Amino acid sequence: MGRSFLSVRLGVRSLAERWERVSGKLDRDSREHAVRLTGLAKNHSSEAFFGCDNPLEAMVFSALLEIRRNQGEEDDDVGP
Amino acid sequence: MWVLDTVYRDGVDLWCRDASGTVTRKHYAYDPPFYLHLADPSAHHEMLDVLEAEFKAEPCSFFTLFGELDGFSVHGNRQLAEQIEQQTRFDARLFNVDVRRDQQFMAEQGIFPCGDDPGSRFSADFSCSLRRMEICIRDDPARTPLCTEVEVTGDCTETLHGPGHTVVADLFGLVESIDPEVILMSHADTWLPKFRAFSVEKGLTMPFSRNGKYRQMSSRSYWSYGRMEHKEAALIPDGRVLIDTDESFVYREGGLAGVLMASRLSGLSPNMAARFTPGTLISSYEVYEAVKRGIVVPFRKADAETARKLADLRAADRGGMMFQPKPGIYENVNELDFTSMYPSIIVRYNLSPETLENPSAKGFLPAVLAPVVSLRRETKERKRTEPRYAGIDTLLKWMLVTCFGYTGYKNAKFGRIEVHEAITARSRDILIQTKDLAESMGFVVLHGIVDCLWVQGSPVEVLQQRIGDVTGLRAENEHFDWIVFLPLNDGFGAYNRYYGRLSDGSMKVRGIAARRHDAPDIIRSMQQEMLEVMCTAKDTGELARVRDKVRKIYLAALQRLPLADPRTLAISRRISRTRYTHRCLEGAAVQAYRDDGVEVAPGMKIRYIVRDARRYQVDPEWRAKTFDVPYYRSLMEKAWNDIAYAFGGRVMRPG
Repeated sequence: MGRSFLSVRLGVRSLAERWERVSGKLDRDSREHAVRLTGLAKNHSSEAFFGCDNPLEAMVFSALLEIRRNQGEEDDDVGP
Repeated sequence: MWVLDTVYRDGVDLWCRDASGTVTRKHYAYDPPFYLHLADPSAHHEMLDVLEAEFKAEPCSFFTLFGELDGFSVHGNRQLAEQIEQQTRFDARLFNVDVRRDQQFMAEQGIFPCGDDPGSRFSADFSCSLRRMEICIRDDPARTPLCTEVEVTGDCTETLHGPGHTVVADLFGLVESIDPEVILMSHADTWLPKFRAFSVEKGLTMPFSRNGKYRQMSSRSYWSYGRMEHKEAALIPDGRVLIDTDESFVYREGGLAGVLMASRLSGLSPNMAARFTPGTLISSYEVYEAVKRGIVVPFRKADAETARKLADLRAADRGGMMFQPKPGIYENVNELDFTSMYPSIIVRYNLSPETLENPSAKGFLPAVLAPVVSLRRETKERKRTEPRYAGIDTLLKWMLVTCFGYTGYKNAKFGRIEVHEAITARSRDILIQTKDLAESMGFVVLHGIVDCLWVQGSPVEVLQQRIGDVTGLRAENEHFDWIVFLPLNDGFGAYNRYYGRLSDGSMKVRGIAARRHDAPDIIRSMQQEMLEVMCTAKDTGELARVRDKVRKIYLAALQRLPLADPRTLAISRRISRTRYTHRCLEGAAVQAYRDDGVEVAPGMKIRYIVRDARRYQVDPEWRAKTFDVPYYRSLMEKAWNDIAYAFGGRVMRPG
């Protein structure tokens, strides 16, 4: 039924696993950030598949969006 | 003419039932031609001369899905068609080669099985009052040569018990005296060949067929929706409906009413409709409709897709839309579900292989699916108050689910991958459109999967109305007092694992042990017991208050586990292969079956109990005496964790 090549969603899953493996090899300081980054990259990847053609694009989009959102929250915290 | 069974055997046999319940055979001489189209007939003049002389070939024109073609009608069988293909180096295009002749005959005559009013084929109100007999055989057909314990229910109930040869002879006597129109029999397709061997050996007449004749279906294993399935060989009696109640998917899902409805729509005998998958049924329905409309059915598909770049294929073929949920417990959630979304899209947007290039033409697929879609809407509505429509509704649901898949199936007679892509593209747009609409009206969208959206907010009736206005599709609503979206291992929300309490007081459960057929009974019933308690909680406050009661169920189950009957611990698996390269429990179970002399084939269901998980030691259900307590304890713990999440997760209230 339909074709069967790796979907963006499954591609994201396999890329995320790779990123998690890489995270494990980093020094302790970087490791924590890398694990968080992987989480951010997965956050919106399932919606991003609607417009993105490859998993990496979906993950980068998701991570940047979350980073921007966090930045926005930090900006809001800064008083006049 | 109320047709109970149909057979093609040197013409068409229709087994007709009159008002008094008498079944008689009517024979019709029928030898339809198949059709041949050649791009350059003169290049094959020698072959055409032979076809004319030997197989009554005549020039003619006929209608395909894409328009009229000139060609030849040829009176021959499939072997001849295949020879023509080879002779012409697959230049020939052939039609109506593999259409079932009894089905073709009925479609041409405008008749259908299990009904006599031509105008009522798409009605859910038809009679199922056939003389029926239920045969429940207690023995395991894989391990017993002849049955020794049988319960027969007809006008009254009789139990047959004793040596196999006596029980089978008595069973034959009962079938003959009751003379049912429908036999519902457990593992019928496995038992019948054994009965036949026995009757031949003892010189008895096997009375299942009305004329002593049986059709044969060979066993096969096949992939369907990503999993391996297995179908037993079958002996199908003439003139009587025999349903294997264990193996028939259509009967299991839709009951006898479902089988009869499938037969009415597809134009296949109920004996066949009961043995086919919903995919084959919808495909047969399309064939019946094509023949009825004078459209010839292609033998091989010729409308292959055009070459495209891989990037374009990826862009086009994305499947359904999903919005991942945030795991947690949510109060007052509405599940908006588009009824038969994909077939409705086919109908509404006129999607059919021939309309891709010519969108203004009225498409074949939309035309034939429209009455089924509206019948499904009707049965879905009526089953709420009249349960007798539930079986028909389920059958229609399955047929409509598979009609979409078939548009992308390489061998589908009226499918084309671009139609498949167009349907999913529309569905993604519709789900996003619905999400935007809901958010613009102040709703919070929690989760979405293909044809379903979970939202918090109100008034939901206004949202439903707006969705209908904007998309042209109908969305049904189910209200949850509370719902739990479970997490995946990585903490993100799972798409298809959730449970919650509906406003009518029932629980809706997806993806956890309580609903999984492969989970051991002991674990499934433990979770079901927990859910029954949780079901009494109308909100998350009340839910928190039943926590201790639910946990006690878990602790009690843990305590009882070491003393459990091993049969309640059986794990069910549908095996996808019979050779395993790595050690695993499933592979060990397959070997255990073989050791006990039971033949296994891909797609078969096996049941086993884990004796020692670390050493990959398992026993078939019938042999198990001991089990690996820590292994089952871990399964129990996993099932408890899914439930415990409802008591520990964050509660999200609307607003």
